[in-house]
Order: sequence, then C-alpha cells, then structure tokens
Amino acid sequence: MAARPSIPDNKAVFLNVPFDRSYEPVFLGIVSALVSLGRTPRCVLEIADRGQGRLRRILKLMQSCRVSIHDLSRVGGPARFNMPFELGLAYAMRAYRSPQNLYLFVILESTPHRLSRTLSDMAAHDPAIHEGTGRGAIRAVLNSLGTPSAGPFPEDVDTLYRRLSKVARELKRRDRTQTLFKRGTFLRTVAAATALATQASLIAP
Amino acid sequence: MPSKSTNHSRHVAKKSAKKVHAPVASRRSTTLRRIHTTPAGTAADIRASLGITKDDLEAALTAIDSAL
Repeated sequence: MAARPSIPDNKAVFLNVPFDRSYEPVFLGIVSALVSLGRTPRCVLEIADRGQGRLRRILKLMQSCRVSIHDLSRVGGPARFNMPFELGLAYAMRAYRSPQNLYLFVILESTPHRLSRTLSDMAAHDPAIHEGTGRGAIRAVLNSLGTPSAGPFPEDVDTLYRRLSKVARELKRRDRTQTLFKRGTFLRTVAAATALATQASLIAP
Repeated sequence: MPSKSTNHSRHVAKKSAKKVHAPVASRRSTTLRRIHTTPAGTAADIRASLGITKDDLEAALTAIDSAL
C-alpha cells in the first residue's frame, strides 16, 4: 500500500546518509549548512517506529520534503544498498511530481569522478564532493542549495560547525550514547544547531 | 522610418542585453532557482517542523553552556 502523500514542506530537506560514527563529521557539516540556510534537516531517525516499517516511514518523510540529499560515498564492503535505493525513490518522485510540486535531489560523494563508475545510470548528474570532511560537506551543501550572493558565507558556517561539534560530543555524553544517530540525540543536535545559528545571527529566532 | 541597418543594430543590441541578464540556461539552474526563492525558515520554524520539544531545546541549551 502506498504511503499517504502529504503537502511538501519547501524548507524541509530529507537526509539519506550513512548512520555510522565515522560519518558524524560530515553529518554535522550538512546539518550546520542546512540550518544556516534556514532549512530543516529531516531523516528517518526522527520518526519513532510504531510498526509501520522503515521503508514506509522513509517514503512518507520524503513525500513531505521538497529536497533530498543522498550521500553515495560509502562504497566499500559490506555493501550499503540503502542510499542508492532511496536515491531511486527520489528520482521517481522527481520524474512523476507535477512541475508545480517539483522535487529536487542532491547527490554527495567524497571522491570526484567515482560516481560514473559506481552508478553509471546517474552519469548526467554531477555529485557535490565533500572529501569526507565536515568543511567539505558545508561547501557541498551551500553550493548545491545556497545562493552565493545571499550568504551565508562558508567561513561563518565553519564556525557554527566547530561549535556544534563540541556540543554534539556533550550531548552524546549526556545521552550516554556512542552515536549521534539516535532519535533524541539527533533532535537535540538540530535544536543546538538552531540555537547556535541564531546566536551567530545566521537565521532569525 | 529607420533604415534597415539601424533596425539590425537595435536587434543585435537588444539580443546582447538579453544575454547579459538571462540566467544560465539549463534545466538544473531553473530547478535550483525555484528552490532558492523559498524564504529561509527561522529557528522556531525548524524546531516546529522537526517536532523538537521544549525539553529537547532545554537539553540542547544546557549542552551548549557546558561545551562552550
């Protein structure tokens, strides 16, 4: 049964990224950049599973967003098929949504020119390269979704990212968890990002 | 009535002016321009959209005080 469509939130950005500890710097870079742009990072972690199944939750969440970010940088073993699979869902949404309800997706990679070998079907789409770093992720997101003339400047987001990284460590310590990729820790990390972005005058309170 | 050459010059000038102001013509840029025109959300918008509770915000602010 198909998930019930909801009205897309223009500012919401669905994150289709690997949830592992080594990805946390890139994840924090993405969150810092999105919040600085006044956009809402959304991911499947935020929705508690009440028996509807993960894929159904993902579909519903994607339908509520206007944009999605898909990181295809995890290409080593064991094989990770979730990210390319969800990119396929995004591609279908882009192809079949009406022009008034346009869907956009952004592909991230850590290494230039690799996508043409790992996913040649997407040969016409240039991924944004983050080089596996938070700073790289900030530039990749700002280049893809930002407006250079309107800001924010990458250096300002770098400062937010450094502060958010310290706060994220503290949040993990308080939540007694090794990873950011838990529902509560993720929500509190975004809450901290919005507070820090407001303090830095990057977004309005 | 203006001569043929004047008309031609005007046409060329108009065309170049258009070129200067026209955005890069690609499907991608059109898509991004549409997205860019979306007004930025505020911190309150982001928290509401994500369903961040007062408790989550308090916890985040406490962590900021401790960490920075």
